[in-house]
Amino acid sequence: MNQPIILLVEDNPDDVELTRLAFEEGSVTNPVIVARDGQEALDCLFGTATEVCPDPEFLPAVVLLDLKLPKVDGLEVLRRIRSNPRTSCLPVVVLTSSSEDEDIVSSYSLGANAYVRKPVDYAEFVGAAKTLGLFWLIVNEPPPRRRSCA
Amino acid sequence: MPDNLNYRQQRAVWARWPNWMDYLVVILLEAGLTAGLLALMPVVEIGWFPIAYVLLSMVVAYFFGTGPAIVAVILGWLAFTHFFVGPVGLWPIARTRSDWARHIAFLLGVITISIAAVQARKSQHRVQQLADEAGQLNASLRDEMSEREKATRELREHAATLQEQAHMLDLAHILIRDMDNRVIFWNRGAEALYGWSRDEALGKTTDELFHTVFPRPVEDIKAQVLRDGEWQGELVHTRRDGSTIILASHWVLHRDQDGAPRAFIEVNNDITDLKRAEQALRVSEERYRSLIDISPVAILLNRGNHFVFVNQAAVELFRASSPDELIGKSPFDLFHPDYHERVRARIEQQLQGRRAPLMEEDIICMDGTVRTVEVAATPITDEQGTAIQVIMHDVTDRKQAEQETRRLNAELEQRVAERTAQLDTALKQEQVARADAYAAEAKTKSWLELAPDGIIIVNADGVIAFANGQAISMFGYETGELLGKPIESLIPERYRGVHVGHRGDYAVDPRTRPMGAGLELFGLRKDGSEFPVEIALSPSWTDDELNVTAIIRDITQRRRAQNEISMLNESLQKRALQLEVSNRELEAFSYSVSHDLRAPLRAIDGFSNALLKHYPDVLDDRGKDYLHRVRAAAQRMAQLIDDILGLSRASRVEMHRQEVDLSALATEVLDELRKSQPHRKAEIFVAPDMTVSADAHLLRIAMDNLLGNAWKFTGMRDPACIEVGAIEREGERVYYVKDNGAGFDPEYAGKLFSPFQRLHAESEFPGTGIGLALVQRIIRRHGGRIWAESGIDKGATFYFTLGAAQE
Repeated sequence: MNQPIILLVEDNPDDVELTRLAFEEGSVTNPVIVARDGQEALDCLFGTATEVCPDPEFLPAVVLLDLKLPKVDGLEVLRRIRSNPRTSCLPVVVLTSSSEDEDIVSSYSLGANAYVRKPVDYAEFVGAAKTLGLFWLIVNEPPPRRRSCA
Repeated sequence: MPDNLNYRQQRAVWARWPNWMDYLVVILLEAGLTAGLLALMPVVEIGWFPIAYVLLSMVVAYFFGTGPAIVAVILGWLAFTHFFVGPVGLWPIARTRSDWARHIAFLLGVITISIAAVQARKSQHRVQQLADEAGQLNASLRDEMSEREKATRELREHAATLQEQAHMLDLAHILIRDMDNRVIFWNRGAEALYGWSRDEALGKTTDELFHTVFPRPVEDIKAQVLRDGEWQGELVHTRRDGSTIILASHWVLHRDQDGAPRAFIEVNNDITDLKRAEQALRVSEERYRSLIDISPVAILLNRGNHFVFVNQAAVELFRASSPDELIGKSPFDLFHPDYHERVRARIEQQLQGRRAPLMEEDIICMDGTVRTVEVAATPITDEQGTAIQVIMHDVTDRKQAEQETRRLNAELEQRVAERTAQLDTALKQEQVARADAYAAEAKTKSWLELAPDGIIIVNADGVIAFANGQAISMFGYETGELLGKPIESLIPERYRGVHVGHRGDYAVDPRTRPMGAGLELFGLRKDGSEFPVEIALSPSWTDDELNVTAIIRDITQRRRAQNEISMLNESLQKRALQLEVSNRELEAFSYSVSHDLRAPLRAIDGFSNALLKHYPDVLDDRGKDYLHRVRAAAQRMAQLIDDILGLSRASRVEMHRQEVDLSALATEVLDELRKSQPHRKAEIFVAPDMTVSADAHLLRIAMDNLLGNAWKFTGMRDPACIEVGAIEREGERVYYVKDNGAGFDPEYAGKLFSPFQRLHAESEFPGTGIGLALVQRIIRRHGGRIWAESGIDKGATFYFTLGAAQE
């Protein structure tokens, strides 16, 4: 299976399930790897073999990143992704409940590619997930591997 | 009797003898007749003799008059009766009565005849006399007539020659009149002048023609002409049309060859216009002269660089005693040497006929003073050539006034500056000065005790010479205890050493000033405690010795108050800090609310939905309904959270006032609302040009809510009417949003703006009850107010202001 992989960084199991459901309903069939906190996500991305990401060479097509995370929060994760040459070009979509201006501004200034607010209404959520998958996995041309964007 | 006289005169010419000779001749004639009759008696019948006597009487009467006639009658009667009727030698008295009658009748008859003869004689003489006279007159008349005829002929001849010459002078008005003023020559000029034709004028007298008005009696004039041969003068003549003309008349006497005056040749020139012009000129000249004389502006006439005329104002301007003092002077005598160059240039310019502009120059007056004048000059040309009329106006006073004003202004400014400085100093030294005043008064009136401050006088050696009650009690001493003590005993020990030095310095420069400026000063009480003081120092001299008066105020209370204030300030700052902290906490809280409260809701909604979608067969309709309700509740909860966050954000976010086009903003919001429900009919009116000073973002939120409400509550109106406008109320601009919607019960108007308060059922009009609370918070943050007017089903109007900053 050479289908692009989605890395979902989300600590809330409900949201993980809902996201999966939404992808499912939105006909996004790509595999989803879930990191439960910031540290896990970083391990995954920086080649530290873990239970979640056994392949040290692993790189997802897109990272869906929650901001409010245990251990290392989402903005810090984003900052590190951008500061590491291995991941500096990786598309990162912030997917969060917050609609605080501050969060939006911080995300973009740290190099987020998109900012999506998780709607409470499930139908909307499905719509958002579908659009996300469609755009980042099919429309968008991902950066070449192992090339730094910096 | 003139006739008699005439007759006697006449007779005297004719027979030159005296009267008595008449009577003698009568007697002789009677005697001769009687003698003759006596001789004839024999021949002639006696009856004819009386006739002879009668005849004689008649002859006598005729030639000699009445007297001799009577004598002749009587003598004749006597002679006849004596010699031929009665006895000779006796008076022949009649013998019979019939004789007497005959005699008397005879006598009467003779007398009558004699008288008749006398009368005849007289008549004859008179006729003769008249005839003589007539003859004489005729003769003289004849002479005269022939003489005049001759003269007239000569004159006519002469006039003919003159006429020839005179006609050449038809333009002149010439007439010739004879010595009786009858016109004998009248030229065309005279025709034209007087309006009488030649034929009409000839033969008439000048008096008839002209009704001349002479300057003096015409006899005098004529006499002069006869004497001198000519006369010149002015006459007023009346023309044919009745108008009068003034003439310069020249009369020349014409004499014939014998030198006898024959005619007047009169040459008249009409000078009426000239006279009138002269008159007008005189009047205008007089007016001009009087104007110049009373003119307040000095006027001088410069001819050939000498003043030939000056008016009274010029005399006054130059401080001269009379015009003569100025006349003959050159402009260079009168103008200040500094301006001679300019004056020379101006004169040059003037003589070329150009006007000189107004200039300001200095002149030297007769008394030597220098004055400033404004000079204007204009050239005038007359028969004597070009002269320069110079007009001067004294502006010395004005200049001085200007300078004075400038000086006064500067002085005033200076004074204001000085005064300001003085006031500054005075303010600084007010306390000291007041103390001085107190001290001064106290010295004479012993009022030192009344001063609210402690007062201590220290002599040159630093020993206390006086202390008032305030000072004594301030330092905790008894009355009189302080006198004689060194002043240092009132100063805490740690300052004493320095103070002695300070006293020395003060003696070098003693003046009223506060002591130890900028330092905290302390007094030392008798019991050793210290207290903060303010001290002012003022020098005074007694017997050449410097005394220093110190006014001391215990400022313990003030210090305490200051301390309290600073303490309060500190606690206030602490509280502000706390508030900031709690604000930050609140923000963190909102943040977690937005995150953490929404997540479970999302799960509730999401999984409810998943159940509905993926397990439709497991649930009956009721179960599905419940799940729908779960979803609705979750979504509503999410909406509430969003609204609360919005409310909190509206309070926290920083405000940036700017010009906002409220009209455009409202129109935009309403357009969006229309697009959201395009099927609804709405009449919308937004007043144009409403510009406000507000935070654009917050105002947008407020209008979103107000207009959203209006849109929402007019849902069942067809059409919905929404109006946005502004009115002026009590000098304040009030904006409003008005609709024709459901309105609300005014009784609950107070609850309208509280969060979560709703006046309508959720099912009727959905909402969280946050909107108006949010609007109110935004309006309040702008410093404005919001209120509403309504009634159930009467629509609602929301009024709001946007605070003072909008002005």
